[in-house]
Amino acid sequence: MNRAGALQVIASALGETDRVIVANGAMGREFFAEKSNPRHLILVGSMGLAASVGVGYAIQRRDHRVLVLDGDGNLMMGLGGLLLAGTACPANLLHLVLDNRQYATTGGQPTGSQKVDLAAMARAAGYAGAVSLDSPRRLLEELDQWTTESGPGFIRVVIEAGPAADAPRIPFTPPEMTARFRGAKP
Amino acid sequence: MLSTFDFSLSPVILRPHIRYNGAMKADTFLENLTEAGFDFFTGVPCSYLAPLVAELNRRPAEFHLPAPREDLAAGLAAGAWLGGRQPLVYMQNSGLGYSLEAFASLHMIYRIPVMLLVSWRGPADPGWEEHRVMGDHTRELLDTFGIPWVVWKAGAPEIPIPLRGDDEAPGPRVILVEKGVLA
Repeated sequence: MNRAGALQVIASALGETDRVIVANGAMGREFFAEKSNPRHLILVGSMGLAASVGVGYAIQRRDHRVLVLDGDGNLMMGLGGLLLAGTACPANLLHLVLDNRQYATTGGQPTGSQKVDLAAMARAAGYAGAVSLDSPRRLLEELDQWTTESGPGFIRVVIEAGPAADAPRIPFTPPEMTARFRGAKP
Repeated sequence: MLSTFDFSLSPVILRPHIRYNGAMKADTFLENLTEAGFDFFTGVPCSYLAPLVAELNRRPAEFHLPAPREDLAAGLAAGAWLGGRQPLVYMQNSGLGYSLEAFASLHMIYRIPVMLLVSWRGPADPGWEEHRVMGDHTRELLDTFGIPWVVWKAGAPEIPIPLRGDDEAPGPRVILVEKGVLA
């Protein structure tokens, strides 16, 4: 499964009341190209903080399923975000990490994530469940089980390494994305 | 319940002229903050701020969620604001270094407001070498980033209010807290 394939599966599993926080990098642009939606907030900077933004939102809005779409480099930079999710324990949160073992956006430098059991770290931090998988079918099965009561959940999706796709820039400025996200209904 | 208070439209965030004598009791301060609309707190403790943190620790996670590092507190506060809350982040000035990047590439560009209560270590800590450099440059750092700040002095007659600068962009605003302000 490559990143585009994983993003397609994820986009297909999202409903109209779900909220998504996407970590910075090429992944955000690719996800936006796959599914543009005001309920999705794409971060352009603040690397490592997608999980903490997601936890902050999820504990206030327990009526929504909240997805944090993270990368391995991002997660490893803001590893304390795992502790926040485990401590606050928002049952509506799903933390999904697309793990390609590299900083694809900056040229494919290795992150070293293949040496780390990220799912075990999430479990140890207090997530209700944590799995590692590499097939679209398994990913869809996990996403199908996600409810506002099932988390916080953690899914490491092992994807093929490869250069970042040449996704177009997001046609909204950060303040526009904030206004869209805050005003999104339902 | 979600706050209807729109922090982004209000340049004045604390009720002015809250008078007190000497150090301010943390429970009174928290009451003032709550009245002003603050309904989500996160941060990393400092001994200067310990009385406030003790009060906050009696509240549920929706109201107060401590963070392991200041940048994560900044991220949490941004998420809480996106969820309708009005956040306050407390920290030592030593945590500014960790969190400035978050303010620069998240709050300031996405126009996400956040009030910061930052203990100003250094000036009142002679001999504490670890606070000297950051303490000497705290105000310059904030000025360089264009973040409005005020100093809350011990024994001040009222809580100072960090007004916005010339531009209307919401983002972080800082109350620098001196030693002995809170009890």
